[in-house]
Amino acid sequence: MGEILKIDDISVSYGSIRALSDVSMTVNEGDIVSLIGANGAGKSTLLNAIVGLVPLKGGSISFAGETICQTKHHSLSTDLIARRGIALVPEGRHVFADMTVEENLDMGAFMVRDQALIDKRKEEMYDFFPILGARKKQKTRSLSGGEQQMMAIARALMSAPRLLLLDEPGLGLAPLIVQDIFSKIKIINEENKVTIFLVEQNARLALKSSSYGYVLENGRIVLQDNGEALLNNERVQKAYLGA
Amino acid sequence: MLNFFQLILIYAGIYALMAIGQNCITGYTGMLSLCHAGFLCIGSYVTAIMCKTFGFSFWLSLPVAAIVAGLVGLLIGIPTLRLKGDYLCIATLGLGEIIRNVATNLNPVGYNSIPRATLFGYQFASRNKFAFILLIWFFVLVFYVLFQQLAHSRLGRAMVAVREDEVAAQSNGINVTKYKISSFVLGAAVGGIAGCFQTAYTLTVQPASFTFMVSVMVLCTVVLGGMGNAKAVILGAFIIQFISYFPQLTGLTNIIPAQAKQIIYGLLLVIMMLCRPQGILGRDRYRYGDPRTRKEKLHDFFVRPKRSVKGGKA
Repeated sequence: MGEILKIDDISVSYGSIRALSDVSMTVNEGDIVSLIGANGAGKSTLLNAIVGLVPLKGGSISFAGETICQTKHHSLSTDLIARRGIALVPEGRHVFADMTVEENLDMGAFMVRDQALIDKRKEEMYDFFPILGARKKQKTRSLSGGEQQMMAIARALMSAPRLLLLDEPGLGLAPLIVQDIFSKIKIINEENKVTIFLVEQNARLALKSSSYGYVLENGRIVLQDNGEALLNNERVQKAYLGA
Repeated sequence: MLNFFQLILIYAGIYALMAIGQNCITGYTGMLSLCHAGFLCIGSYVTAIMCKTFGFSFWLSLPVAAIVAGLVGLLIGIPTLRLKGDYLCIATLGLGEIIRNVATNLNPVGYNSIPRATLFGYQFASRNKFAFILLIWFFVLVFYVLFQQLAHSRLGRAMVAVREDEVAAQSNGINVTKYKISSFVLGAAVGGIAGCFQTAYTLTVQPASFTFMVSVMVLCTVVLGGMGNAKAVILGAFIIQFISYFPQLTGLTNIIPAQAKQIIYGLLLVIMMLCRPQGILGRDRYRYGDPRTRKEKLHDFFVRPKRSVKGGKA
């Protein structure tokens, strides 16, 4: 299938500090693509740039053939980008803590006007994440980290996005729960036909689940290859897999 | 004595209206704004000028005041609402003062002997307080119902989402700027309407009565009652007005200086922050599409802890 997201030579700075330099990458429709890198490499910045949360210094990003981000005055705002079909699960989850699980899912479907469709999708989410069904009347604040992460993913899926961006879905969670979340991500990709672009510290798990991977170091893409190939790459093994 | 109670009811009504507006801005959308005195001022002046200078009826000035206050809210909202927290607070504080200064320059002594409001031939005279109580509280009720509806609507939901987490709101397709400005404009419009009633009651407007303290009092009202809870802010308005007229009510004006109320407000806020930061009644829980019946809601209200444990399996 064709490319759905094309990042073309983008740069991002925070004041005088350069976070991303000349980053180019593509995500093909239907794939799971992962981006790995150390703390401070610019991974989250890249995701935030895609949804327009941070302005670009140069370059452009296009989604489904249309430019969504360019330098300052030619970029769409985050909510408009979301409307095009990109859903971000931000780092640290950003759940609406004082709302119940169900209300959070309702907020995820804010763009959907059809109540019957919202109800149908909610039921699908409760089927897919049974724990959320059991906790739907609870405040999200009272959920465990893993449950909150699943809720954040479910909320993002409520808008039926074409591209799902996941920012460190395994952050601060027990290994078993991270495994569980990644298996869910695979199912979402295969059954719901959602293209997934994820950023992760857990390089092994991320690359195993991905068809393609990028390695980001100090704001630059230093390596890119098939997931399998990257796993066996000497440099990756040394730096990220502790081999 | 009865006179004072009536006076309290009238001012509690005016403050309840302002607090409903402030609650829309601060309670729902979570923006700390300190310029409600400015919107009150605009409403008062619109009524004064329209009724006195141009001889329009009070009822016509009511929507005009709301529109003018809303427009000013829109004009100042567009540049300032990009600011957050303390910065927004300082910017709005300055705006409240600017509005007051413009009013002072317009006419330093204000307006006197403004024509009374009439309804079907009945004149609302200041000495007939009972009629005013009915009039103002009717409008408090109307706006209470309207804003309660708003809180349960799509717009209200978006506002709450903006308050809770802007990043999450944006990534769910909510235009944060749009909803911040809408909430600011709506809050400002209600503030303007409160100004109309103040003018209709006192029949005078002076720039000196729209000081920064008024904005602080409105904010106190909202914090005291409970942010994001329309019922609570009305309760807050009663309490604040009661404190404010306490010396006159008890006949202790010789002993308690007028400034004492500011100390009491301050103390009250400190005590609230320590003991009950969510306000007396706390935040209203808006369950969108709440499936519970009225009976279950009452049950939940009184025996909440028991239900919330098994609530998940329902």
